[in-house]
Amino acid sequence: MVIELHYFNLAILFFIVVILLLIGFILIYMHLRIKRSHKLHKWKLMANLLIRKAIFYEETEDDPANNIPITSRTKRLLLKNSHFRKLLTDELLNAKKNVSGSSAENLKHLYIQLGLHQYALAELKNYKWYIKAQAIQELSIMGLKENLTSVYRFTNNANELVRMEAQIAVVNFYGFEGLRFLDVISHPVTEWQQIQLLHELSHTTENFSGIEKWLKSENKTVVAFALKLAGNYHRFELHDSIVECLEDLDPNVRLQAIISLGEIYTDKTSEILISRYLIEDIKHQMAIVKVLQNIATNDDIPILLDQLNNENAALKLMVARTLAKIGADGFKSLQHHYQAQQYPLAEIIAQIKNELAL
Amino acid sequence: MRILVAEDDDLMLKTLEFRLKKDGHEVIITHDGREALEKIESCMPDLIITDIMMPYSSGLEIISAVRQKYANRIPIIMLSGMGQEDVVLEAFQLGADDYITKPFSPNELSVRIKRFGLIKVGHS
Repeated sequence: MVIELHYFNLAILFFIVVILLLIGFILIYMHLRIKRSHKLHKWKLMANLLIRKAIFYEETEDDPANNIPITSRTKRLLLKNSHFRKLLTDELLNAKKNVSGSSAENLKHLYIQLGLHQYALAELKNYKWYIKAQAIQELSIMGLKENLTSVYRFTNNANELVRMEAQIAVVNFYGFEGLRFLDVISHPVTEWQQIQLLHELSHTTENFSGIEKWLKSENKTVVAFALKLAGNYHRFELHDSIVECLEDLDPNVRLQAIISLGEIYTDKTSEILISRYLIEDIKHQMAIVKVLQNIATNDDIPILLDQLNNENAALKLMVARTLAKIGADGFKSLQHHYQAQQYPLAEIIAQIKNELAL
Repeated sequence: MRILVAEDDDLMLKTLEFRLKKDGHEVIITHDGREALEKIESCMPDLIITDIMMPYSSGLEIISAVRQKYANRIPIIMLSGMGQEDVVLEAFQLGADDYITKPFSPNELSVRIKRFGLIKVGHS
């Protein structure tokens, strides 16, 4: 009985010690977290103050190098603390994305003055792909054109995200001229990459060349992208080269060629597309009919009327819509079709009437 | 002028505040749409600068609420990101007076605000 009580006391004592240790651990952990959060807050204030100073900095004759005044504390922190460096870099990048003109130039100047570009350039040599990609993005946002050579070699990198960041960076630096990586790229340019590149190019307005060469690339994704460029920028002189792409074995290239012809068409385009229609699959047929909505003429009415016999309801609707868009003659032929009173054409015609009324 | 700025990015908000104060304006800063709507009610600013994408209430909701309550008495400049053309159009339909695309030059914003100041003086 005495021994049992002794064990019981020991167990309670052990339990109390564990609880006390746990509470002690939680208190220390909370204290460290609060301290860290205060430190981060202080650093953020320092960084923001410096960035604001840079944004509104005006050139003075006192300092020919036009250096932005930096406190010795900031300099010290930058040298010895990688966390502060990271925080300052992130804040600088965020600010750079939001301002333009002389303020943006000042931020770039500050970035270089602090030597942050040196860290980014060193990170380009890191074996971890995400650090590399982040460094490329950093140089791109800061607009460090002078580092084009270091970034350019990653445009054909095996890693998709590194490649994408590098391609966006060179386009950001040099606009359409930056697209010359398409001459040699062996990896695919994914749909998402193409969208990103087109978005980046939308900020530039200069003329460009090279599409013809890309339309003949061995890399089918480059051909598809070149077709998008030709369509988006209305390069009418490329009409015939795009028509050649309709014969391509790659279905994506053919599809993109059809879509691009909807943007740059001549009086012969609808005829060419209709000649392709019968040998294409349903996806391409739908694309052709959609393009014909803008370019078909009265001459195309008979062949379109034939397509109303197709079993696919979506295609039937698209064809009916195209006939209606041709004009009064097209719509009249649609209403006089022998199935016009039957399901589903009767419903389709009713829907199109509603669309026309809107 | 008393200018209300609604922007969720703290750095941008402080930057705008600094610039506008430097230009001699009285600045009211708000970090989200809800706070902006409350401050508009209590402070009655002469001009509103609002970001489009913000927590709680978007810039579009602010424009709509201001136009409903105060008609065209308070001009509104919106800050929009690149590629937000549809939103910009919607904002104009709701009654925004001007917009500026990010990235923007603080000097440009300053000039645009001056223009609104002149219009106000002209009207009065």
